[in-house]
Amino acid sequence: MAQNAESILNKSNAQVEDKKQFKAKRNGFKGMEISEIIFKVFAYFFITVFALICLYPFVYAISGALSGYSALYSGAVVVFPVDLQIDAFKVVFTDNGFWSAYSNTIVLTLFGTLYSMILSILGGYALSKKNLFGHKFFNFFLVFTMWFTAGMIPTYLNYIDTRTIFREIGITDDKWFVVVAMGIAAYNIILLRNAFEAVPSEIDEAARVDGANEFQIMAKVYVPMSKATIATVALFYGISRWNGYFWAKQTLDVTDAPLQVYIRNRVDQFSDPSYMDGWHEVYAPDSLMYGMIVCAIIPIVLIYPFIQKYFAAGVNIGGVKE
Amino acid sequence: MATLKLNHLRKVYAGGVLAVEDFDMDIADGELIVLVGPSGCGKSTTLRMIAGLEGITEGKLYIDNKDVTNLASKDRDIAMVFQNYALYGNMSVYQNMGFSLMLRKEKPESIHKKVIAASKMLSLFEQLNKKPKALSGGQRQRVAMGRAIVRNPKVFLFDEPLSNLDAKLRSSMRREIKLLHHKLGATMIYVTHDQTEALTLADRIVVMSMGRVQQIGTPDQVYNNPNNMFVASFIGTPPTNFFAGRIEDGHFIGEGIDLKLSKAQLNLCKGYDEVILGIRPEHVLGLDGDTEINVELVEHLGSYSLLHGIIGQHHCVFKVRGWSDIQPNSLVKLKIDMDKVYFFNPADGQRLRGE
Repeated sequence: MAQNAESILNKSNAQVEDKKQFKAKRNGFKGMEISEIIFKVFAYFFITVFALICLYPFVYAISGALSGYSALYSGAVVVFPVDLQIDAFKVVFTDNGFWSAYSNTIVLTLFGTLYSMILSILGGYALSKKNLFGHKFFNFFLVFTMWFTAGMIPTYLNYIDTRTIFREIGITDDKWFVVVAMGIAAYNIILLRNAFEAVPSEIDEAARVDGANEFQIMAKVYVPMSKATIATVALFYGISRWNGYFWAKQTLDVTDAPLQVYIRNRVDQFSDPSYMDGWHEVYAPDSLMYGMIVCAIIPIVLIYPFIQKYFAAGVNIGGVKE
Repeated sequence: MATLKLNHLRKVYAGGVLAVEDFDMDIADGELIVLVGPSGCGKSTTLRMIAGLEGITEGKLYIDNKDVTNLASKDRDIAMVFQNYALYGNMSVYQNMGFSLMLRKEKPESIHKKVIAASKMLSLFEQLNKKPKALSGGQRQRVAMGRAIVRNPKVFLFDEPLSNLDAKLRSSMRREIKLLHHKLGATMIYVTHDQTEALTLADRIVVMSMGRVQQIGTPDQVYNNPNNMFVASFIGTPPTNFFAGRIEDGHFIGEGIDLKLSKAQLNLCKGYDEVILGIRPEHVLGLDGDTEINVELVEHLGSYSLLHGIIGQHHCVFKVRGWSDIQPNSLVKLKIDMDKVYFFNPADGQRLRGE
């Protein structure tokens, strides 16, 4: 009986019913002020233009790779391929040097990102703790390197010295010294530190009372709660390794060289008139270059949608009452 | 389940701020102790010292006669429920509740059994796969309690667990906590600033102010036999009315108030020319007495009405039964229940208890 009375009471609660039935309606521009409509129209217009500007180089690279020699050089290719050919891609696919460079890039990106993330997460977590001995000093130390970067020469010397050390301890594969020498970026550690600082202190205390040690608190609570920032930082590291050129060009042998260095070397080759004298292909050298560029960006384009879900902010919504 | 011994605990923060001074208390097995007091009185700090989240500056803490003063939280076998729930937002309700057991490397079957049992006890069974963000405030707080229950800890600590809930939910959750205490029979320490929670939940109440314990006693003792003016005013709504006055010819004479005292009461005030008299608002026998109050406002609260008014220069409030038809700006003559008045030392606010 009491149960019945309670359910009747709940049913008669008009507020609850209203809340359940309320649905936001989409009315387009209806009911909007003129200024709001003008703002929206302009906002969408500029976003569309900006998106097209960003997208166009990709579209042009694909079309350029698929267009014929004369069409490309005569400027006939604007959006779609002209005099369609796939020979340029065929050459790229059968180029052993290209794929060897590709595998070098994959190794550098995977291990480089992994190593950097481990160091940055550990560093960011430690620096996020106010009770860390020398908390202020270490934070300043880190930020200082961001304000006053050493510049090209010391950075280069750092790579060379790390390589020397690696060779002395018997690690002759030069890819690994790049992974280590490029270990961390101050800016990324600060991003992670800020994300960890945003986790409410009660969560840390709850985990402590639950019996977690410092490492477990970081790995099982802080890291999953900071997924969005971790994904962002991983993407920063990943893209910087994938697109890395200067350090690799300066320090790695041809056999260890990553994709960007290989592409650059090929571009240099194409600008050599003696090499170009015997060119009788249906595709232009630039098409070959575009083909390689398209192949080089495919992994980034493919990975992005998978990472994107982690960018959804607010992993911790509902965990604590604000 | 466990006994606790808080041996002269003292807490001074880094900046020299004294948070808790000489907290000394023995807590019996299965007792529900409520620490109550206004913000900044040191109640939460005391709880956090018991939890191991704050260091103890001086004194010793024993759980089951074992000195845990310098032990880390995880080694004290305590569980804590936080004011803002402190749930792991990335985990489901099930994972939140099983997290501590998982850290202790318990077998998955055992974790499953305990989580299911606790979720049924707290009516959370249907919510086990949901993330905290999909739950209501009350459900989230129940998850936080579930997280404590599965551990079967020696001591449960509650840090203002109901403060973030609305009034209706607060009262139902209060009932649930009380029932839970009966069911588990566990030792619980509960911090709140809400005296209603303190009176309804506690086996014993510890009233604190400015880092010091003002009184330790059962709800009955704290309400009906307050140690000092602070306890008398903090416990009970509306608070106790205080009148300053002097003892003359067997009477208490204050501004606008003249009350004849009994022999026993005169005995209590022996040696004091001036005292402070305290009367709880509900200790009015009728409207046919001789203490005149100028009514400024009448609040109707259904079963009783509150008369806000002035006696002499004092603002005071009294409770009368039923829906009072007294009009504002009228004079009413209250008959005060003289058996229920308290006397306090005007110098230090302590209760006068005679010799």
